[in-house]
Amino acid sequence: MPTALRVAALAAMSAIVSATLSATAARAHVTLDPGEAAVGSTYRATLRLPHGCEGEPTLKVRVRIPEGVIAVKPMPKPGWTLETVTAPYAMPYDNFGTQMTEGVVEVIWTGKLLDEHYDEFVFRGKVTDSLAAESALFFPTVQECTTKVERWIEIPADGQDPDTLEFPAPGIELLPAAGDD
Amino acid sequence: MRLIALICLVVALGAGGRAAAHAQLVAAEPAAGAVVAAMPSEVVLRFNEPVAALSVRWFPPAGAPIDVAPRIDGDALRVPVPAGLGVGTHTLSWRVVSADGHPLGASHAFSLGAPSAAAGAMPGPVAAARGAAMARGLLTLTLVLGAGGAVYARLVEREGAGSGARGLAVAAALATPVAAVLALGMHGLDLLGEPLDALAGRAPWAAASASRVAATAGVGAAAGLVAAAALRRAGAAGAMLAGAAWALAAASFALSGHAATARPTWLTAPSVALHAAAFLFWLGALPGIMAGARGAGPGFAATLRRFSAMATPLVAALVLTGAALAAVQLGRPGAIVDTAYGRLLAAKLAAVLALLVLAAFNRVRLTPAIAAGAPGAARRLRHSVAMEIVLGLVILALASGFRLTPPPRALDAADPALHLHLHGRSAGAHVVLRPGRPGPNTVEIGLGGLAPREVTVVLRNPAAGVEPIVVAAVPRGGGWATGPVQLPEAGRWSLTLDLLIGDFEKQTLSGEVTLPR
Repeated sequence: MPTALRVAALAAMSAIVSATLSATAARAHVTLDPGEAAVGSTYRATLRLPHGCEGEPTLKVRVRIPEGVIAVKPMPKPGWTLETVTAPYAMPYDNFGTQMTEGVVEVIWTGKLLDEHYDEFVFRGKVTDSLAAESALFFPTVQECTTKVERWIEIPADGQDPDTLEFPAPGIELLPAAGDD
Repeated sequence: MRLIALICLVVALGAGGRAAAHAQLVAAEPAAGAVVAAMPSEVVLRFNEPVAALSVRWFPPAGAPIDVAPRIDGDALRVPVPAGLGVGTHTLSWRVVSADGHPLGASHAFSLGAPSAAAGAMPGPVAAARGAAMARGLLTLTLVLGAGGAVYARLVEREGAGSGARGLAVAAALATPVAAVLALGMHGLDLLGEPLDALAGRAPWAAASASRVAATAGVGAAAGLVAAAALRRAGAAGAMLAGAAWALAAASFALSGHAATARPTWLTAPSVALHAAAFLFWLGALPGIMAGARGAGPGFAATLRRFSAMATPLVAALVLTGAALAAVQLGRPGAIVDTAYGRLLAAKLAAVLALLVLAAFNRVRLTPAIAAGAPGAARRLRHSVAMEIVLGLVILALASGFRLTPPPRALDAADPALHLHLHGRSAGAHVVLRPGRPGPNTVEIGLGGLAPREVTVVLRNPAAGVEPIVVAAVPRGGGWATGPVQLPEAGRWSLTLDLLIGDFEKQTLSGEVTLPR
C-alpha cells in the first residue's frame, strides 16, 4: 500500500479516536461545544441535548445569553420554530465601530425531540472583552417537555466543585484574547 | 491496513454507544405517594435506560431499616418487598448507576393502608422516663420518712425515748443521699433517652448535673444527712437540726419540676415549698403516730395534741397551695378531664380528700378518745393511721406520675417543632419542621423578602442510607409549606431549599437539623 495512503489512514484513525473519546468524556448533561472561547472573538456555540425530561420529549429549548456576549444570531433548525428576545444590555458595547445598547438576550427553539434522540442547537455571538479571561461563562438553559421542565441553571458558588451540581448551567472557559501572551 | 480500519470502526462504534444519556426514573409501581390496600410482592422502578443497582434500603414505618437485594430486569429495577411490614408510610431508598457511570439515587415513599399518623404532641412515657419518675418518687419517700420523721421526733414528740419509728426515720434519712444520686442518674438517662447500662458512662451524669434536678438532688441529700444528725441529738440542738432538715427538704421540691417552674414563679415556687413542708410534716408523722399508738405510753396523748395543733394550719396551707398550683398548671377547668395531667390530678385529689376525711376523724374523735384513755381507742387510731399511710403512699405514687404527663399549660402553649435558619449567598430563610421527629413531618418555610416562583425542599440523610427526598412546597399563609413528608430515621439531616427566582435564576439555601429519637 502506498505510504501516503497509510499516513492518511493513520491520521484519520487518530482523528476519529480523539473525537469519539472527547465525546464520551462529556457528561450527559446539557453542554456547550466547544468548551472554551477566547475573549474578544466570535464564538459558535453548539448546545447539546442528550435526553428529554425523565422520558418525556423536549418541546422547547430556551437559552439565556449572559451579559458580555453580544450580536447573537441563532441558527434555524428544520422542524423547529425560532424566536429571540431582545432587551437592553447592561452597558453599551463597541462592535466594530458601532455602539450596541441592546440585542438578543434569549433564544427559543420550539419543536419536538424525543427522549430517545439527540440533537444540537447552534448560535453564534461575540464574546466582548468586558469579560475576564481565565473565568467561566454560563448560558443557563431551560428544557421544557410535555409536562416536566428541566432547568440547567445552577451556577457553582465560589469554591464549589461544579461536579456536585445536579443541573449545572452549560458553561465555557474564557481564554485570553488571541494574539495576547 | 484492513486491521487498522477494523480497529477504527470498533473504537468508533463502541465509543459512540457509550455517549448515551444518563438514566432517569420514568415510572414506579406503586407510584410515589400512593396509598395501597395490600402490599405488592415487589416494587418496580422503571428507568429510561438499563441501570445497575448499587443499594436499596427499605425504611418501614416502625422498626429498623432493611437492606434488600433488587433484581434487574432490562430497564426496570424489581425490589422484593420484605415480609411482615406494617401499615403506614414506607420509604424505599434506592441508588443505581447508569451506563455512563453516573450514580443517582432518591427516596421513594408510598403508604400501605393509610399514611403514617404524626407522632403525638409529646412522646408517651418511655422506659427511661418511667425510671426517672420512679427514682424521683423514691427520693420523695426517703425525704418524707427521713426528714419528716426527724421533724416528728424532735418537734412533736420531743422528749421521751421515742417510738419504734425512730429506726425507720434514721434508715430513711441515711438512704436519702443514695436515692438522690439514683434520681440524678435516672434523670440523666431520661434526658438522653439512653438505656440503663449507659449509667456506667459519663454522659447521663454530665447531662443531669447540668439540669435543675441536680439542685433538687443535692439539697435533698443534704436534708437527709441533717435529718440523720437531728435524730441523734436530743433537746434544742436536735430540734434546730430537725427544723433545718425540714426547710432543706421542702426547698428541694421547689428547685425543679413542672409545678415549681410554672409561671408566675413568685407564686408557684414558694407554693411548692410550702406544699412540700406540709406533706413532709403530715405524712412523715404517720409512722411515729402508728408506733406511739401501739406503745400507748403516757406522753402519747400530749404528743397527739401537739401534732394536731401543728398539723391543722399546715393542712390548710396544703389545700390552699395545692389549689393554686392546680389552677396554674391546668390553665382551664376542662383540662381536668381531657388531659392526662388533669386526670392524674383528679385521682390525686380524690385520695387527698379521703386522707383529709380520715385525718378529720382522727382529730375530732380519736385524739380526745386517746386523751380520755378510752379502751380500744388506740387500736382504732392504729387502723386509721394504717389507712392514712396506704393513702399517703398512693398519693406519692400518683404525684410521681406528674413527671410523665405534660401539664396542659405546656401543651397549649407550644406544639413540638424544630426550627432552623438557612443561609445562602444573598438570602436567608426560616424553616420549621413539625413535629421534628422521625415519621411524617411538614416543612414550613418563611422567606424574608424573597418571592420565588417555586420552592423545592430536598432532605438528605446519607449516614442512615436515606437517599435524597425531594418534595415541592406550595404557597401557604404568607410563606411556603409542604404536605406530610416521611422522614424515616432520627439523626442528622441536611435540608436544602431550591428557590426558583426566575426562569433562568435559582438560589439554593441549605442547613442541617438533628431529629431526636
